[in-house]
Amino acid sequence: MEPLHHIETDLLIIGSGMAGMSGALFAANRNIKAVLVGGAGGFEYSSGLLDLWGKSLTQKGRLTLKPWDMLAKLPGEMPDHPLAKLTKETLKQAFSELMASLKTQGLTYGGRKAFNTLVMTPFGTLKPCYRLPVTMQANAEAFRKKDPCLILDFKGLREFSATFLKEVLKRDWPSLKTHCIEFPDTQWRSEVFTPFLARSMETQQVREKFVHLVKPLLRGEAYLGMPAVLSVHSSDKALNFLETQLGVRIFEIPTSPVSVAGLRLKEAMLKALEGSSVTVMPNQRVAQVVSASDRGFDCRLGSEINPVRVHAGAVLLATGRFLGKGLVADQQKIHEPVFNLPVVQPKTRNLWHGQDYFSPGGHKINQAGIETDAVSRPVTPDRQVVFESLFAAGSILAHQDWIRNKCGAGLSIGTSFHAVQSFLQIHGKTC
Amino acid sequence: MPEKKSLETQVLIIGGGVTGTGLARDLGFRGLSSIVLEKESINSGASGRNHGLLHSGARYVSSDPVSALECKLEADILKQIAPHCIDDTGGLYVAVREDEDDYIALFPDLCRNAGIPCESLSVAEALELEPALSKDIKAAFRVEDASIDPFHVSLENMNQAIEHGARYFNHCRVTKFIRSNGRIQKVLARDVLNKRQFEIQAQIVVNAAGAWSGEIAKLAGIHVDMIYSKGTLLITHNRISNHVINRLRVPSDGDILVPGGTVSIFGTTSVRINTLDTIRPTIEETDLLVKEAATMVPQLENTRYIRAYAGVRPLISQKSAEPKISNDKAGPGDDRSVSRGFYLIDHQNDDLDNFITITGGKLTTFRLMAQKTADLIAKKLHNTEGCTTAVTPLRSNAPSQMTEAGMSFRLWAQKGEKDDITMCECEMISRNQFKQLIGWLKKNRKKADLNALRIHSRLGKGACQGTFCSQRVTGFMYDEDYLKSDEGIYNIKDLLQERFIGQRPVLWGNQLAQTELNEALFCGFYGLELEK
Repeated sequence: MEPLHHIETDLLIIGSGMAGMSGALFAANRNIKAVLVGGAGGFEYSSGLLDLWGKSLTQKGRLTLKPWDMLAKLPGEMPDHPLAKLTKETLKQAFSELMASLKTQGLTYGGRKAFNTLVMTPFGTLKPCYRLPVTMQANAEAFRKKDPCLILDFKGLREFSATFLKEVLKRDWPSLKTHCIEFPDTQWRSEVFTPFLARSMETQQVREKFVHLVKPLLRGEAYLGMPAVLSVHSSDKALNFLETQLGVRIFEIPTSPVSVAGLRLKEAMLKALEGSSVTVMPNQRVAQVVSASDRGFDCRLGSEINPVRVHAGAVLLATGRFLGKGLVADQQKIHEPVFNLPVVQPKTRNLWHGQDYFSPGGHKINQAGIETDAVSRPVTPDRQVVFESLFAAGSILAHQDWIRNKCGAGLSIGTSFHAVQSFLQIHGKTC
Repeated sequence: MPEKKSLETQVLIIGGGVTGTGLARDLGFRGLSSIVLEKESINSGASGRNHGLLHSGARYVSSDPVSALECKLEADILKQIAPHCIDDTGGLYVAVREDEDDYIALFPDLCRNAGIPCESLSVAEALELEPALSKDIKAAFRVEDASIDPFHVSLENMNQAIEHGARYFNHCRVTKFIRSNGRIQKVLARDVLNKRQFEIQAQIVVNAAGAWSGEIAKLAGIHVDMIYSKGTLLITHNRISNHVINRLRVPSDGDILVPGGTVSIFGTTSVRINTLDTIRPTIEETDLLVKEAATMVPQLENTRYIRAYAGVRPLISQKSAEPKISNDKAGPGDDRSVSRGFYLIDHQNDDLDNFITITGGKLTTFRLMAQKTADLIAKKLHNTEGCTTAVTPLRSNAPSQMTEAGMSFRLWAQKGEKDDITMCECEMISRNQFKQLIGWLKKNRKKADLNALRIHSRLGKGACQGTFCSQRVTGFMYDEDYLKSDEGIYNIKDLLQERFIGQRPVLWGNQLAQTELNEALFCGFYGLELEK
């Protein structure tokens, strides 16, 4: 059937996760005519914490507070790592540009100038990050100082247990107290969910009820912590209001999915793209690449019944790994499903995973992915560029284990920034 | 765990599988006291690592017709006394194009001669019953196979035994037999969790350690020649068929698909191994099974597999002892031709009056094995009560029902408690059900950790393999004061590592994506791979 819609664009960004969305923002900031397509994006799985490099390269199984020191070692230690190919300037610029965009949407990120911050998780373990939402800044501070602190729990919330946190931390932090409250207006619910609580926290009415409920519980604590539910769209304001009303430093604890702090990122990025040069087509996957050549790409989106054709001069492939379906594995091999790009991978499935799930060295399959040249273009095993204007960014890239090295956000933000820059470099005159 | 340093009982049973627990039940009914010692947890050997198939007997009509009839008679008894542990699905035997016509032609006669009911079906009838079957099947028969939940059976065996005075100890290993005057005077054992030693005095010691029987016998200074035959099985994400589906050929790899509640189990391989140290399913076995599976049920080639697991068949070498039920058609080469009949060995002949080994056999015939063993014990102890296990219902205890896929949801729906919430969406287990289960474990002085909850319920057994339920249930256990300090974190790590071993061979497609999410969460976010 003939497509109903034809779209002409300079850059088609495939993938709406961290890499695709930040790539879209970088494109918008440069007034590049682009289209963003992708699935749900997986932000509900994101803690909202933005790491750059969190794992020590000198001490096995340890975290680092110095991401730049580690990145400086990277070309020597892991020369193929995608972050080893980026300069410090590129990474810094990428982060600050993204942080500025988020701030205009009322989502302020903070962090130490050149060091990582360690944020406590619901297990009482520490997650290193380079940039973090202001609503989580006091989390790290409270943990460091071990001052008297009250952690709130909400009745019917399965993803969080304040007692769990207290039990794990009690030896080092005896003044940590917990209390379980019924979140405002949830009396009739046996089960509550973080996005639901966060959306209701959007209203002034609920914030006031919350203050009313929590005020009597405070006994001069320096900090008040709770799972991340301080609204989706106005968390800065919610934090401000509650801190003023309750007279205590407040922090959020990032939760496991569904993660409100991740949803915030997604919503803020989508809002920042409104009215920009980037057209967002949510929940559209590339169904078929009709034609691909060095001159451009013709892609069919969506279903057979209601197809959309996009013709793009260039493509930024940011489809992620297995969860995002950027990589697909069958019993024999790992494939890249959109362009059937060559995938760097271990020889047999036997080598994909080791026997120790929690091995600090990680599993070989996590290093599989797409190999690129110096300007982010996928290459064949003999290092030939696949298409002149096909770029790739994010976790689909080979030679990195973002999970073990705690570098997922840095990888996505840095490589998409570099890819957009490369696109401009190559296509600048034609845009 | 045992609190006393020294315990006394009439019968010590080594091995908490279906035979050991079945024996404890039998002895209890006869008024004989027993202690069951299990080195890991209930059914952690072959009893928990099989198809969960209640054999009609048809699989053995050619190789071992005596065992075949034994299966039929025992299956009939179990369907009577333990219907709550059995899904009476019925079974099909189907042949595909490459299967031997001679065997197909012989099959109905072999069944008739062995006394196994078998009804010939047309291909169209078979396809109507099971649309998932290959369109290429050329023959089909209906038999009386059923699906049985071996965990449910063993748990209920033990529950009923405990009501009759038996005691059960998990995580306890036998370390030494003290023998003198042709008897085992004392058994030394160690609790592997708290490392405490204790001793047991028993009038009779029964070695019901399954594949580990040879090792236990060796501790007593006796040689029992075991053959270790590893069988690997796969669990599918969905229930593929309603009947048990068997391949109609001389027993080989990947012949049997058994529905188990909401999933199906497919297997097995038969690989001779030399030690019992690492019994893990491999990628090669998995791939072989998937390939074989697809010839009979094509969708098994593309279906989502949740995990693989492997068990070791407790087979005994022919020269070691005369089997209780003999097998006269044992051919060389395949361990499947070693008798599946069981062996009851009175070690009186080895100058040990009070030591008995019961091994071999099948899940389907566990009750009979327990009966024969108990008969021998009763004779030795001059007990004249007869066996009543065939006529006494295996009672149903609420906590044990939760091992059955789909049961938690039914129980939850029946109760409909207003403030109850779902902790595990894959298997639909509610908070109150976990609470009840933890309470029951505590009452029975069992450790209520995540792995124990997994064994007693469907926790961690669904598509997410513990990703979400492990955190929620751990949080709940902290809230209820069942966990202290950071033990919950170790609980979660243990559970996920245990689950990973089974997932590793089936990590492709969707299950790989699922594992990636799990790793991103527990390593990427929680950092559980890091040094503390």
